[in-house]
Amino acid sequence: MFGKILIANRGEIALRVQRACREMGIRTVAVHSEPDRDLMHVKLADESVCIGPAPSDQSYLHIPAVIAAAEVTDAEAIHPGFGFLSENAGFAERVEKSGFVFIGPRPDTIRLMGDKIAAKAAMRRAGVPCVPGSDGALPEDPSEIRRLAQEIGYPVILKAAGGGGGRGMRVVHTEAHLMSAVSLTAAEAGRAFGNPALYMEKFLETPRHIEFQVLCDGQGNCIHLGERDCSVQRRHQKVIEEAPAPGIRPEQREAMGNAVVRALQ
Amino acid sequence: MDIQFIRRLAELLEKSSIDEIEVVEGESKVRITRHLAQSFPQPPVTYALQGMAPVPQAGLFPVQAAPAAGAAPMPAVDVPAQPEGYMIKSPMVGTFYRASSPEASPFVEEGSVVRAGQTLCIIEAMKLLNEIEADVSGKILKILVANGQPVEYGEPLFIVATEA
Repeated sequence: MFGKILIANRGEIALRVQRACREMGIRTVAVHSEPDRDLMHVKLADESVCIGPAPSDQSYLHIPAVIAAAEVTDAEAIHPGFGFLSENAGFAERVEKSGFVFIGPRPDTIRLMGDKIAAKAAMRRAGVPCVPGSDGALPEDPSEIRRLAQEIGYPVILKAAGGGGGRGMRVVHTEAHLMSAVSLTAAEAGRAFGNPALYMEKFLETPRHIEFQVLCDGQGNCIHLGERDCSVQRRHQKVIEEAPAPGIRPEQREAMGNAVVRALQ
Repeated sequence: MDIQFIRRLAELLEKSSIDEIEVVEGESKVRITRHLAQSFPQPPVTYALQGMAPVPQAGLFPVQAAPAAGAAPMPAVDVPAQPEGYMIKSPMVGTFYRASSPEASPFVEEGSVVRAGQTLCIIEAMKLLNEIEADVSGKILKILVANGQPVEYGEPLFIVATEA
């Protein structure tokens, strides 16, 4: 087990990881921007390092500063928390190249799941039922795009391949709005994620957002820990999660749980 | 009590009009006195820190827990006030070196006169040696960190008496 971990985050998740470290006898290093000097995660850590000024891209998102902080404190591993650099495959790679353990998925896995088109294809190959859609990036030809939308059936939703976290999506209700929606969403995606590729899916108007928590040990063993209902959201950001999800019958839970476990194995 | 805490007390003293400050924390006590040309005897101002739990505190220099009962209180530390001047702070996280290599002589010493843009030190991170340049011209009054010491973003490195 590690002797010392650097937590590359702040706030609630940093405190949660610190609590776990304390229970396990692992020493913790907190990083913080200048104005965050007096935050609780800094005060409760065993050591702390100021890594930059207020703007996140010069501190919490500044990869050299985070890795240098691990160097000067002789940390063995870096825990990225959620948000910030946790889904950045480049960061995971640089952490490993610098001789630290990245507490999270392998860089390749991060890359695969970060590209939504590739992720969906991987899930389909693994036998997970997916929402009907474009099966890959949108075709170039507008008449092809229109035909695809007709086949799927309006309303459809356009999604950015590089999106996620509730961003990079646009619903289209009628064909008249389709092509302008495509160019708008692609332009936004290019600017926000550096990747203008889009895919299309049937838009589910009153879905329930259910997530399964899966735990794998890196040795081929995988279990699911049940589901949570995350439908209560504001502007696509979850407000509260409820477990177990109301109204999910045991056989549904088992069927869905097994499907995802197989997929991740 | 740790070096960071004592350093901050010294800064507090320097910035205020108080001449002496004494802090008692459990079994530990530290008193910091400013040397004046003519000192008028004044009663030391005592601040007792109430209810400070022995929680490990932040800082690149981690805190030692308060000494157990029976240990002698910490001796009074006389810290001379820092010279006034422009503070050059570290622009990055890394390890501070006075020279470009162990055999080379340091870039600057206390008393050196420097120009803006002149290399003052190296900060090493991720196997890269970064030359840190002066952003002002003047005379180095004080070098605040030791060779090989880890530094964080914004850590004061040099105090410079600027020209004009």
